[in-house]
Parts: sequence; C-alpha cells; structure tokens
Amino acid sequence: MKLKIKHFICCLIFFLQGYLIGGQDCFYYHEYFCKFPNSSFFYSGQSRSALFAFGMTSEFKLVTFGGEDYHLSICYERKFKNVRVRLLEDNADHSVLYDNKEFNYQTTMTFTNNVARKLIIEISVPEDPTGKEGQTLHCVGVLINFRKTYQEPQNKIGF
Amino acid sequence: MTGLRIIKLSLIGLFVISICSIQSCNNQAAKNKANIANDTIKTSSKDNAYLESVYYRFPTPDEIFGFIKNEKFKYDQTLINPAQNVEKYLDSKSQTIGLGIYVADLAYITIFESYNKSIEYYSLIHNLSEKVRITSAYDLEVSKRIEKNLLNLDSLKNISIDSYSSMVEYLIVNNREKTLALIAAGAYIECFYIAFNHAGKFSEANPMIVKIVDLKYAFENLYSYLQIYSDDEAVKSVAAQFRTLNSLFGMMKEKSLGKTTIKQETDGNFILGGGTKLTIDKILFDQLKSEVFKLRKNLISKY
Repeated sequence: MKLKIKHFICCLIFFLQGYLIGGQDCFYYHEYFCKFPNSSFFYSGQSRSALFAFGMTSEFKLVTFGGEDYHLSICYERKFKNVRVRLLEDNADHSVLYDNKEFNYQTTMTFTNNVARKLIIEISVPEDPTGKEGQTLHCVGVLINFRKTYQEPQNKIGF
Repeated sequence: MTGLRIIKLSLIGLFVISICSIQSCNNQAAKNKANIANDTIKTSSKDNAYLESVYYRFPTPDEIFGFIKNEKFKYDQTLINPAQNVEKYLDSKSQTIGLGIYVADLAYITIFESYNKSIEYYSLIHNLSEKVRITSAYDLEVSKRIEKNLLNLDSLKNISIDSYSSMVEYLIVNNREKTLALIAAGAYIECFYIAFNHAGKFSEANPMIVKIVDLKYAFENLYSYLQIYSDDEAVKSVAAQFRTLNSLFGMMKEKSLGKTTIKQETDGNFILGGGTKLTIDKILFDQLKSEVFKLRKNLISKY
C-alpha cells in the first residue's frame, strides 16, 4: 500500500512539474537553446526571444556598429521546421541583405560591418503542414553576439 | 485507511490543479496574444491581420563602453555619478533614472576592472533596484562574491552584462517597459557624458568621436522607444527633455558609400559594404556635447 502511495505521489509531482514548466514564458529561450559562437564574441543585450504561431512573421529593429563582427543565431522549438530569417536594411526600401532560405535555412550566420547601421531581423515561421497545431504558440530565440573586427598588425615586429 | 485518505486528498488536489491549468491556459493564451503585440513591429499571420506595434532594441552600456577599453583610455573616477547622490533620488521617477545612470557607471567601472568601486556601485544598484521593485537582477550574493575576490576580472565584466540583461528581461516579462525606457534614458545620457569627456580634441577621425557619431542610430531607437511609452507621464517628460538632443543628432550629415552590398567569403563569413557614413563638424559636436552635459546635470541633480 505504502509503495502505491509513493508511486502515486511521484506521478503527482511529475504532473505538477509539467504544469509549472508549461506555464512559463520563453523570454530567456535564446540563452539556453541558441548556438553560442566562440569566446572571442560578447553577448549582445539586443538578443531576444518571443512566442510565435504557425504562419507568423515578426520583426525587430537593432543597431550595429562599424568595425565589428556580429554572430546571429536563431533557435526554435522542434514543432517548427525551416524557420526563415531575413536581415533587412532599416530604410525606406527595406532591402534584403540576407535570407537563410538561400542557405538551406541555416540557423547561424556571421557578418562583418564596415559602418554603423540600423537593421531589421525578420523571422517567419511557416504554416503547419499537418494543420493540427492551429494557433499554438512556441518559442523562437535570436541570439546576437559581437566582437571588434580583427585588424591585421601594421609594421611591428616582435613583442 | 490513512493511505486511502492521502489518495483521496491527492485526487482532489489533482482535480483542482487541472481546473487551474485550464484557466491558466486561457490566461496564458490571452497573455501570449498581448506579448506578440508588444514584441513586434509588424506581425502578420495567414489572414494578414497586422498588429501595429514596434519593438526596438538598442546596445547596452557595456556594448558602448567595450570600445573605450579597446582604445586604451584611462579610467577617470570623476566622470561617474557620485554614490552619495543616491540620497537625492526620493521619488520613483528619479530612482528609476538614477538606476540607469548607475548601471552605465558600473559598466564603465567594470571595463576598467576596479574591484572596490564595482562592489560599491553594484550594492548601490541593488538597493535602488529594490526600491523600484526590480528583483532577480543585481543579486546581492553576486556582490558578496565580488567582495571576496572570488571572481576573475573577465567575470566582473560578464556580471555587469548578465545583470543588465536579466534586468531588461525581467522588466519585459513583467510588462514594465515604461520603467525600462526610463532606465535606458538615464543609462544613455551617462554613456554619452562619459564618451564626450573621453573624446578630447575634435577631429573627424578621432575614434571616440566616430563612436559617438555611430551612437546616433542607437539613440534614435531609444528615442522611438520613449515615444511609444509616452502615455506614461514620467516617460513623456523625459522624451520631451530629449527632443533637442534628437534634433541635433538629426542634423548629422550622411555621406553615401554606395548601395549596401553583402558578399560571402570562403570561410562563410559575410561582409557588409557600402551604406551611409555619418559625419559631424565641430560646431555640431560642441552643441551635442553641451546638450548632453546639460541633460546629465539635470538628471543627476534636479530630480
């Protein structure tokens, strides 16, 4: 009897755990699930996670400085497939600088920036192919890291 | 008998939790909808229903000051807001703006790896954040670890970055973006103040002046952010105070470097070229500097 009670309580705790996790938001998602670059990069406070539904497109604006390298990494829950990332210029034309659709939906990219720019990161989640998920929401994270662009040493020999 | 009673109670508990879960799901769905609206500048779903909302990001003080270290400037303690000024900040608005100013100061201090000042300012920020009801960031336990020299110098900088990020995320999670707007406003004015003080003699090629000029875009995003939350009186008054600074940044000239190009190198890295280079003359530089100093003086003492 005692064993049955123990099993029952264990099941109850398991159930409660699922309930508590399910109730959380995904604001920190990028910190746990996006791929970090090597340690020469620093975490950018412009990183962001948000909830997405199937078939949804969302954008956010960010600022990049000249003379710096940026590493972008996106991550999303397994229910989503082939999430599209586009890097746009934040100007009247919104010209597309990068589209991961052309690179087999890769989730990371690094770029070197010559001047300060205002950019837009646009994330698009495709429709649910099964049609079963409806408007259920899942996390998508965008992790941004940066570092000063490496400069070749000039005319200096030895330490 | 006792065992049966436990099972009965557990079943009742499970039933209550299930009901709560259903209710919570409903609330969560409603909350999620609100979050989507807040997080996006343009959100479309399959029915093309656009939600009109803007989300702006801007570099943190640590990202701005990272440059200072690269250029080998010397730490100047007179530039930071003195710790005793905290006693002047009695109302919520001045405490929130003051928090932003001290956060920027901590970023500056940690860049130069000053242990003693880090502890003092970290504790000060912790106390101020408690006053404006921001928990979870700037944990006092971390302060104790700094005190015991348990952290290496790189960790000190990471603490500043992590604490600021935690604070930003806490405020977003709790729908307190108006507080974030005030903190960011205080932090940016302090960053500008320190940067202008380090700039020295005017020259367009001066690396610090180039950096200040580049900060125009970051300031524009911040200013737009303040505008969005201007339904709050405190944010509205700060946005009004920043109007002249925004106009001055708008007077910078833009030199075209050609259409923006992107090319991929053999190692996979992309290179962004072309675009627009911002330029500034001495008159505008002096006007900007004077406006920043005036704003900073008001923010640290007037409130």
